Amino acid sequence: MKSRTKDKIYIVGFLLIPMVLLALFSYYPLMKLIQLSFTDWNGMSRDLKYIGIRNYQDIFSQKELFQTFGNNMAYVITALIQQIAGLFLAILLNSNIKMKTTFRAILFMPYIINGVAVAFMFNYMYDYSNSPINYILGSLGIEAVHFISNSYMTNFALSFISFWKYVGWTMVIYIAALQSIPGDVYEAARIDGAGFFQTIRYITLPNIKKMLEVSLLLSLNGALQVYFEPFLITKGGPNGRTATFISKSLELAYSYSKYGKAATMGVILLFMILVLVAVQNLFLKGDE
Amino acid sequence: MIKSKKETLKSTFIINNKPGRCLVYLLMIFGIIGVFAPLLIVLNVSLKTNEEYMMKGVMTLPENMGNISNYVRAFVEGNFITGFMNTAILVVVSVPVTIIIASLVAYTLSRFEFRARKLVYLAFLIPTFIPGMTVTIATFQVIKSLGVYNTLLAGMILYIGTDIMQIYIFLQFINNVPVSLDESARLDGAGRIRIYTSIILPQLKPAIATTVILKLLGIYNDFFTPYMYMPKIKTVATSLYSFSGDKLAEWPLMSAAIILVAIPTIIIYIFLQRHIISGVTDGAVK
Repeated sequence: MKSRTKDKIYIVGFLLIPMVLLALFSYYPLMKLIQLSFTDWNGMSRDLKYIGIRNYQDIFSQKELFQTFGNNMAYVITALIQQIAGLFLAILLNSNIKMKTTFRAILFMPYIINGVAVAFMFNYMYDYSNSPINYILGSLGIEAVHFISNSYMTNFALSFISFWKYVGWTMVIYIAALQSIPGDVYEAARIDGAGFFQTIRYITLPNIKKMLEVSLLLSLNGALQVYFEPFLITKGGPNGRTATFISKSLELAYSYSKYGKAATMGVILLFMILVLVAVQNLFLKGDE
Repeated sequence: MIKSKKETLKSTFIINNKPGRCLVYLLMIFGIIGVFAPLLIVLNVSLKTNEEYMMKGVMTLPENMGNISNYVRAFVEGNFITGFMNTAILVVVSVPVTIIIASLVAYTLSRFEFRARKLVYLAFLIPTFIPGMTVTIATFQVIKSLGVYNTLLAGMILYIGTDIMQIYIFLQFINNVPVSLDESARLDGAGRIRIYTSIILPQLKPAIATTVILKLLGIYNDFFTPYMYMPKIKTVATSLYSFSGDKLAEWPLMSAAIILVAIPTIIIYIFLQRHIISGVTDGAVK
């Protein structure tokens, strides 16, 4: 009996602070976000004025919203290419070539470099008059390129920065998945005389299906929440050409004090990502 | 001999023909150039003086390979000493506290019997599905009303309070520690805290080592938390950001600042790359 009361004290003692932190930084912000999304709060006033679903109506009737999602699509496409490239590199590194660990270590390295440094490094690479890339193009007799301009392609130039940083990560995840496939499966395929594409189609992909879905979900998640590159390099400009959903909502809050509307955008994106997670979980369940 | 046979078995493909192998190596070299080229170009420019850069441009090698004047200028003018200090304080406080809190929660969930256990477990699980960037606007209000806005405490609290994944990583390790170890220690008269310090923590050592490295890299590389919640207190990442404000057109100086910020984690990576890669994959695979 005595040890049970003692245990109770330990349980409370060990869980109290973590639970308070959990409530403060996970649950409260979530509720607050939903609450703010129904107000026109400007970040200053003491009391909240509820305006119903006007923020939602406003956002869905505005062109900017769809433009920002259009910009996010560039990141989504890049994320998909990143999956293919990462898987391809993983397959190459899972063959019988030499120096595999060295190759893997080098290709993964960008992941650990400070993101601000990487963004500014590419800002330099993309510079119109000073750019090393344009210098090389020039010496090959090709006209210089405006990487950062008001065309939609600027979004791809920006999303390539995260491709450079994260493709090694994707590769490393897939290497781990590939190595969990038992070797005798391949042995059997080899004896049956399966070719490169047959082996990938019938053995590799089905065996890493779960990892494919998780990795795809994580990178789509990242592509929808991207703000970093446009925020650092273009500030969403020119004319919202490179504003993403999150960078737009941050701008609404901190530059225009439209916290209510910014919160609404947060809720919408949260909802979309949760739907994505739910769909993916359904798929995973279906497989089992 | 045995080892090489095993490795061949694990391989997805065995490439026996020469052209095939050459192609794979060629692709690898292509990838390596992709990784190193931008870094080397920036390193090269960082060693040039402004005049030299104006006259000769990007591609020539610097006249004086030991010209570190840009680095000195960047370090002093960018006030990086403060940035490195603040980042170090954030790491030194947040990392151990996160480890203690997360391991205690994992220990409680794994080893104590109580009615609300499932509920507590769920309470910690649900927030892992909330995408962090979406709730920023509201988190900002919490930081403000706690009165820690623009102090180092804001960063510390957020690094500690939002790292829920850590609990699950520890939980998996602790669940693999046989309960019989606890029981025999209890027979020897050890209490709950003794069991935690003398059995659980030692078993967690590898997980803790990985956490220290990954959390250190995470805090060092984080831009958003310090920028958003403590804009007046500069860390390494936000120092580089404010330095870029007026120096962006001065490429040799800016390049030196970029390398200055990038180098510390690259050095850590050179020594610990195996741990870092396996830590990252374990975290994602689970």
